[in-house]
Amino acid sequence: MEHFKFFNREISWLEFNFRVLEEALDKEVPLLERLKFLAIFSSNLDEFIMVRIARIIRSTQEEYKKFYPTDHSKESLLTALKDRILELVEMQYNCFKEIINEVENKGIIIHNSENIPERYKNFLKELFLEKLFLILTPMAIDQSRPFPSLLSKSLNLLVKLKKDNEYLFAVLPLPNYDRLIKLPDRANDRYIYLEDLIKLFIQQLFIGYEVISTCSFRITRDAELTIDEEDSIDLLSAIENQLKQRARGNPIRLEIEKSASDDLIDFLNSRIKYQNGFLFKIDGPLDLSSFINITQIKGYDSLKNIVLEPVKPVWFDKRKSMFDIIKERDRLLHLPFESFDPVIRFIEEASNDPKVLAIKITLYRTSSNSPIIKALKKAAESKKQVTALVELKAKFDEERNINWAKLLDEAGCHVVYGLVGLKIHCKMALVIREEDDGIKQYIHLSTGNYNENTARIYTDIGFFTANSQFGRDVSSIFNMLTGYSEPIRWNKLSCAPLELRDFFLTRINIEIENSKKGGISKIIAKINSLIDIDIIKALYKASIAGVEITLIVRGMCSLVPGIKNLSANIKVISIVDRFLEHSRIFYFYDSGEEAIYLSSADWMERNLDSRVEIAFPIEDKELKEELKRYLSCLINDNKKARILLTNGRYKRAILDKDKKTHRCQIDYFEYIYNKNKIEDAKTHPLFIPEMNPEE
Amino acid sequence: MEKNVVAIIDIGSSSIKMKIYEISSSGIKVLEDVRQHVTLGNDSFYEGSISRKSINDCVTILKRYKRLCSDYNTKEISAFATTAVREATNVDIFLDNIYRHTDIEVILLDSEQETEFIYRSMIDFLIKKDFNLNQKIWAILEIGAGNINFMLLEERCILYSKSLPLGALKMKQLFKKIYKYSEQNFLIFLKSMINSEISNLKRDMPDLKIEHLFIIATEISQLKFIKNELEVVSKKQLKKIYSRIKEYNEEELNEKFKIPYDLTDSFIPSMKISIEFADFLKPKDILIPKISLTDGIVYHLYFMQEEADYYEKLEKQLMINATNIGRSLNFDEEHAVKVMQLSLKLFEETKQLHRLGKLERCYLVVASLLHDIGASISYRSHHKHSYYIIKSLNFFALTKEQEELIANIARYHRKSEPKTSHSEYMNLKLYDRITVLKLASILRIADSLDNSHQQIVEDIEVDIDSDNILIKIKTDENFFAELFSFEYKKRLFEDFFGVKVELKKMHL
Repeated sequence: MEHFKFFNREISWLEFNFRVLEEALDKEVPLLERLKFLAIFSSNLDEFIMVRIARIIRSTQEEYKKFYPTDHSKESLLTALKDRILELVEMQYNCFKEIINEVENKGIIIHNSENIPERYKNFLKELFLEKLFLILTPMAIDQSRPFPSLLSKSLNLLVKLKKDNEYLFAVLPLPNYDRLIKLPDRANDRYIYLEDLIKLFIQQLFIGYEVISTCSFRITRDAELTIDEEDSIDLLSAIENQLKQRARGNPIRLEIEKSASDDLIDFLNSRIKYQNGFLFKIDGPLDLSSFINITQIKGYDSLKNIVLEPVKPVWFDKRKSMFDIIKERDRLLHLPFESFDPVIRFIEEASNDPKVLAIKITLYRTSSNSPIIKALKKAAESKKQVTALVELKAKFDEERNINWAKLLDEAGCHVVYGLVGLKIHCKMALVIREEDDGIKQYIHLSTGNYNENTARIYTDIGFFTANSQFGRDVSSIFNMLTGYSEPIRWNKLSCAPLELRDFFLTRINIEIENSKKGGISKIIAKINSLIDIDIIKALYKASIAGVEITLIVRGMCSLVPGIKNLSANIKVISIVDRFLEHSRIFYFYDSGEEAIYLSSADWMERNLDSRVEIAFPIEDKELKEELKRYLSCLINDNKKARILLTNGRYKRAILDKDKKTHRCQIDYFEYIYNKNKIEDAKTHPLFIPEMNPEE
Repeated sequence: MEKNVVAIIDIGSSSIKMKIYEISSSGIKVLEDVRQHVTLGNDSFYEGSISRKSINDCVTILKRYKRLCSDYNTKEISAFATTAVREATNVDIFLDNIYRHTDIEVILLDSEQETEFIYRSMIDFLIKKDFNLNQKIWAILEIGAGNINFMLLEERCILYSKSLPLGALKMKQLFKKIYKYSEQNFLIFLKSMINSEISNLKRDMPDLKIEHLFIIATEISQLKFIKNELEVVSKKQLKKIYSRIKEYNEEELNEKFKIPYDLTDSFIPSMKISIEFADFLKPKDILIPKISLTDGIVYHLYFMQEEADYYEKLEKQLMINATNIGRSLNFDEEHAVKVMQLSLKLFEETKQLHRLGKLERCYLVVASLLHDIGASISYRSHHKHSYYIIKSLNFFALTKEQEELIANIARYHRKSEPKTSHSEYMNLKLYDRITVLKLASILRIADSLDNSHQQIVEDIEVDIDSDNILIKIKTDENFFAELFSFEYKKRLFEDFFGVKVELKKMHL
């Protein structure tokens, strides 16, 4: 029985990032979107190196064994990862060259210091002297001046200088300025890379020296926040302090442009203690994540995705209050197919409504000028009780979080900064309203954050209800998180780290039992990652017992499908498309009851053990049907879905010759669009005669 | 009834609980239900006093609770404390600290009031559940951290109630205190403590066949299989779990049984108490209801005035209660009942003089039924024996002050009238002393009318004009003994009310 097999999570993650890269390689994807996928690939990889690779390197042998109980040695894992990364990065830059050539044909031209036409030099020199000269700070390196401690992920130039037959090196960190500098050209969109502009006039910075050679380089450092939470009384200032240190973690990777001369490379080699083997010579501009906003360039619609304007749900009636809308029945909001506006209006209305006594909300990754933050501020200023649970520990967002957390605090909100040792990852809002027939609670739960920007690019599902059992549960969770109460038994919700894993295991076991009794049994789970060992074991047991299992796992998956006598009944697919798959949906056949849950949690140890997460049931029949339809839409995808093979690689679903293509994200948008249009026409007839009020 | 949001806080031995209720004409709705762990019981039962840290913890928790209250625009917050605070040597310091820092005035509940509130919420709960209590004898066992309350009921009347010093947490602390460094033999200690209390109970309580046993214990409600608001469990189930967990330590209880840490210490004692009581009472079934002290309190505070027959019920309860006590001490039941009837008649007829109400009538019921109870020790000075017997008893729904008052009434049913040298009397509050005088003066006359213990007087009628009261007695026999006694015992009444009281045989 104990012949369980697992994929290593890190290797599986790299395969996920390869799927992202595949989108860039896919010629059917619009050009600028392909470029954007290259940028996403880069920023994903940066984070992977800063967090995951760094953690492996940092781990002691015991820790390593705990992380990867079933794997080979630390050294061989690091080598395997490095080799695969190098392979992928090479593919990435080959692809980049191809895309840049094609983009050039369409009128977007990006120059470097070598191919910049002479006619722009005057313009550039002026720009350099006016805008850059004063903010550039070269740092010479000699015996009295050691190699400077450079920020992680920042771009830098290394300059070799000569004076009186003596050679000298200097480092020039690139300023916080646009990476692509626009050139005056009416016909085309013409740019130069910032580092190349500086290279052109670098001599200006070193008067009296001769610049011999330059190259750009970049360091990626260990970035894990290692806060001693147990000992820190004030989490806010602990994180503030830690942030200052993050930029200076141990170097892991060193990237140097490929054309750099050997003496420059040797110099960096001797000064930067990066991880053995993690010197990447890059054939092209460093840090492609700068292209992340490339699709925002004006025009070039044919090179971009067709805009899918989020649909306003038909129930979202401007003339009705959100409270009445929710009271009528439970509501689902399917982002980004549907608009995030109902959530914003829910909070805004709550902050304006004199009947509202209190608002409680969890804020994890929120945009800086979010309308939700504004509404909460306003509510607090008008003396409503506002409780905001702010999770400061959202990776790489800590700094932003601290800013608006302070803002809310000053406005009079009761701001609670997370829990010691636990990350608050569930997304919940609770509005307490005093109505004529008593106090009512309105609840919004979601799989995604209160962030109107990601609401347009992540697939998430939100749920509104006025069901008092949900109200009791959600207020209990808030009470638990704000230190008002110890956990109380829930009516509807399951909560991590308390019992969420047990809950899932129990549900899986019910399917196992039903299958053993000869009944129908089925599990469908849509998640971002599947690496929790206990859950995977339970799924293997379920497969052995004959339960039909379909897993839609966007990212890492440690479960090995398709092994005889272990996982023959498990199918794993992954969808990577224009929207980031983010919602978590769980379906259990449950002897025909068809229980469906939504959750903020993935099937990962981290989610189930050290985060506060919730799973909640959708009980309304019609809403359940909606979710079932969505799940089958996902499963039917044969365009962007990949199937996980037993060897750990993924292959695209093969399209039968006469079979229609199904692309879930587009199909479902069309479905939502049509549904609302039809319903809208039903409820809002085109011709509404103006009635005489006397009639 | 107007809509209102109120909060009830229960400061217990191992946790501070708060419920926020919305009260309206359609009933009570729970808006919030919170619980925070404190170690008042550990402090109080083990050290004797509440530590500074615990006081500060309580202040912090109560401040948070107040903030939660403001989320609901809560109009009134009432806080109550039970055994752990009550028994702490520094109770005053505790209460004052809480008041100064939080503006919350904590009211101390004694165990009888606790019992009453539990009973209230139990009755309310069973009515809501349409639970059939007809013709049935049932029992409530409430296992608190500091003590347990036991009640025997018939339909909606309490036949017997007793508070036992067997608190689930207190037992553990007591054991630690006695056997400082050893965890061994705790189970044996537990069993012997419980059994000694049960054997006392056996002697004391009426011997009745019990239909349902309701066990109210936070610990027991944590058990996984308890899902519904009213769950039936079997003794076998309890025993099976107990045999599994009895050797578990705190961590194991928490890990394997998901018992919250504030309940791990009291979990095993609580299970054991339940099992031993089930063995002793042999009920047809055991039920675990989902009710709490705060539910009873909210009912008491906001609904009781609306209940028209509250005092009638209370009087009936007390009558059953006192009669049972009397029987267990072999009192002269016929005499007691006669004196009670005569007292009540006099009480009703002279209302315009004494102006006392239904509550005081209840006092008179108990005092008159038990006025001679001291005779079970010795007839000599039996009124003094009556005093301390009554004082040492527990009456359902009565406070210690009220019991003291009743004991004083009984004490003055004969011999000396109250004097400033009587310290027990002088310890009463002024108004209570007046109540004692009024009721004792009535009781004296009533007692005199059955001086021969023969129930010669069938009934009485009372005529009152401005300064004279004429008591006409209905009897076929001669009543010299009664008349003789009356002349002596009427003096207190005459002196106090400034009237003349005469006795006359009724002409039929």
